[in-house]
Amino acid sequence: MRASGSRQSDVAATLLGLLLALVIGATSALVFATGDMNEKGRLVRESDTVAKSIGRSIAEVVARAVKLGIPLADLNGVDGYFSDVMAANAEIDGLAIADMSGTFLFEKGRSDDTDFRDAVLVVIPVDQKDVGRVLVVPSYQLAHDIHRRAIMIAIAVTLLSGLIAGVWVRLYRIELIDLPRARLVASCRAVGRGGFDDYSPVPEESPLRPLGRAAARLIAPVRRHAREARALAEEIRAIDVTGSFASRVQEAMAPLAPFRFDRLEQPTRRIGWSGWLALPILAVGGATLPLIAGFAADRIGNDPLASAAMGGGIAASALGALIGLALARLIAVRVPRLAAVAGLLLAAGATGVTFTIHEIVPFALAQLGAGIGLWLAVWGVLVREGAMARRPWSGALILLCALGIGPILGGITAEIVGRRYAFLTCAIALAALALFALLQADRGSSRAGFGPRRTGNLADLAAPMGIAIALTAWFQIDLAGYQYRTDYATLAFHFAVAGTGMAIALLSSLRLSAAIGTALTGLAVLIGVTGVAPGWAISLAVGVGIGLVGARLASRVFSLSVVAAFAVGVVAAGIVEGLSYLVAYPALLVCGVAALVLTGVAGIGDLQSARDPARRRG
Amino acid sequence: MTASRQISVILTVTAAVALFLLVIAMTRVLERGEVALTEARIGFVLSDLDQTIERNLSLGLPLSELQPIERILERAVASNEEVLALEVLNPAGVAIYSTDRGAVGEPIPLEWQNAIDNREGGRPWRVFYMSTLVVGTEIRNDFNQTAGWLVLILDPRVLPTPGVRLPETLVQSLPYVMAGLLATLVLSVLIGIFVARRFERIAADFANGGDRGAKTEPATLGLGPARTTTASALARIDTAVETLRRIDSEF
Repeated sequence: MRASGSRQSDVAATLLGLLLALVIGATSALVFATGDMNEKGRLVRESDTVAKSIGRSIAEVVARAVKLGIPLADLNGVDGYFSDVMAANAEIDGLAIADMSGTFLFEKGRSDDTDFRDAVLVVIPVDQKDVGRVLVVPSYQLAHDIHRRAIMIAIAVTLLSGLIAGVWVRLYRIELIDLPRARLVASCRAVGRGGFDDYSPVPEESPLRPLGRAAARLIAPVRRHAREARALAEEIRAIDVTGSFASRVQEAMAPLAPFRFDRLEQPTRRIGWSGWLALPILAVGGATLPLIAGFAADRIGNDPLASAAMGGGIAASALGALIGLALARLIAVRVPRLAAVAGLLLAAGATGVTFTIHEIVPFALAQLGAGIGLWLAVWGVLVREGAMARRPWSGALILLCALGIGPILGGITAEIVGRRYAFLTCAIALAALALFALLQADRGSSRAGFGPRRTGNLADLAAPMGIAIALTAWFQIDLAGYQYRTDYATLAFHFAVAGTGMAIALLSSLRLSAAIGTALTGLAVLIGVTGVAPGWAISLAVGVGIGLVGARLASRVFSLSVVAAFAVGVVAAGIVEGLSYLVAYPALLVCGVAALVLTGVAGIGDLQSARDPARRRG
Repeated sequence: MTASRQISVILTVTAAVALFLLVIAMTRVLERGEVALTEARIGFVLSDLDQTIERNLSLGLPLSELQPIERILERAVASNEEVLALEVLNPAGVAIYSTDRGAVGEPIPLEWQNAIDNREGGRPWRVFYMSTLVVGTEIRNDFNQTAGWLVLILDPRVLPTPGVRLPETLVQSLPYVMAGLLATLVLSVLIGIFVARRFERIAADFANGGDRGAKTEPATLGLGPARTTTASALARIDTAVETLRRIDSEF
């Protein structure tokens, strides 16, 4: 049993997260399944209206031909016309022309079994007389798609609430249960060894307070009696001017020598984790992840150059992160508050200006600025005195916020307000955080954040680089850039599934080799290329892989080398995607293979460190 | 704030934000669905006209010489009640055909030009202008060059205003949202009380000399040795005090 009881807190945070997800999930199901939120019927009616408009237009064309004297049954080129209309309108599954007796003269369906029984009928009027009917079979594709998106949003919000509650409860338990518990155990053990002066009371707001009070009540008489004995001894020494009783007094006090009573009880002021501001900063920064590739590609349109734009946007953001890290190393320790505030303002400005951008180059520059600002700000917070404490849990929470919670929030926001306004919303949130950072109490800074934490293990560089390549390729390029460029609900769903996978891996007590996590992400991406597994399973596997690497790296998640390796991985994935414009190759496949190659490097690093115990731990 | 209250606040606030997000996001998804369907309808009118004009262009005539266009535009306006007017612009943005005769020969407003300049590649551009919704698409010639623009001027009510259905949806989903919040609040209060009571029970038991949490609660790990040492220290101190008092009485 660990003194901090951190496993208990893991379980409690998981259960509470799960419980809240269940409540939100059940409420979502009720909201969705009952009342007018289940709008499929309404959307179906709208689809019928679209079909009717198309039918009317076709009827007019046919009516003009009939007016010219061509019999309805002898119209020329109807098949080709129907094919053109259907190719341009995904909302239509089939078209037909029938005479007034209901005999089909022409028909075309997307498949052989297109059912014309429920088709929308439009009459063909020629000189006040109906000569036939146009039958339009709606595909209801949009209605089904919207229905599916609503379900995706419900699942994403459900998982998001579970993750936020889990992270929040875990942070709360670190501060108010785990740390006070570890301190209480240490204090009591010190008392067990006779150190009554070491006992420090439990903070007032901790639920452990009753236990702390019970321990204090146990110790209080000892301290009181000890003070009494000491006072008596001093009194005797004071009046024993000849010193004739000195040896007897000393002898009487000798059994108390193994104990220490000196320090009086001091009220303990709880100092929270000073690095917590990094969590919302990274969550807001991560919120733009599902938006970057799609926004970049849409500056170009349906053009092969779109892949270069996507790669450029992604790489610029990560390149900015690398510059931000270098800048932070130069100035963050000296002026942490300035670094945090200036970084946040730069990130807010660069993200906000995206609202007005319509060209790819300014967008890439804005991403560069956002990356610089964000990482300068994050490290401005992490160099604060005490920010590097509470590792590795704080590292895990940061990972979850940056890659799990943030992108889900970004997807949901974009679904609500649209992509441009989502960038603007993130900018406002970053500016608000800048104000918060400005008003926070100064905590001083520590070089610990930039201190060399060399592990000598190659896996610590190869694994984060590998997962960065794999996750960028799958989430940012394939899902956000191609598959669901404007379907933010589905993007939020995929990030939610990945976030859940990350949380599962981080919460598990498995501390596998980082190479295993990297291999999982690489293999998942390769399976994603083949399309044999559903997308959500790939997202889950990538999430679990990231979580396994995060759990293995633990406190080293914070080290500059690991963060830099991650950013280099993102840049590499962006370059791979960008170059696919020049040399046509499947970028997803190349990134999956690259992740597996890095898995090999990480495996070699792990084997080396297993052979050399000196390298095993940093 | 007590521990139980903190847990209640954490969970209830998270639930409230999540449910609020859920209702807004679902409403917007549905509104977007309606917009997409309307766009599909408008898109059909646009693409139908666009194809007709491009077929005429492929005969080799310049856009300004396509006489049947006016008739085609008028027919399209007559058969689509939400279409207020239709225009064909040359590449410089001057109207060369329009169902509104007064617009012919006039350059387009700045707002339209901005929408054309900022359009997303391959998609129709859209702008709200003077209480109308203006949607335009590119007319391309056989050499894939921009030959002009086809513009639909629509009644803006064809597209639902963003958030217009939110109040209605909020009212409809309010009972479920309130039930969800209430369930979260009750559960979180119960959990908070359970956590607080658990430590209170262990503390009370410890104060009475028991070791109830010894196997399950790590916080009790040091309490046993502390109790033993405390008893031993107290006994020694008491002995010392007794000896000192004796010495004191000898004075």
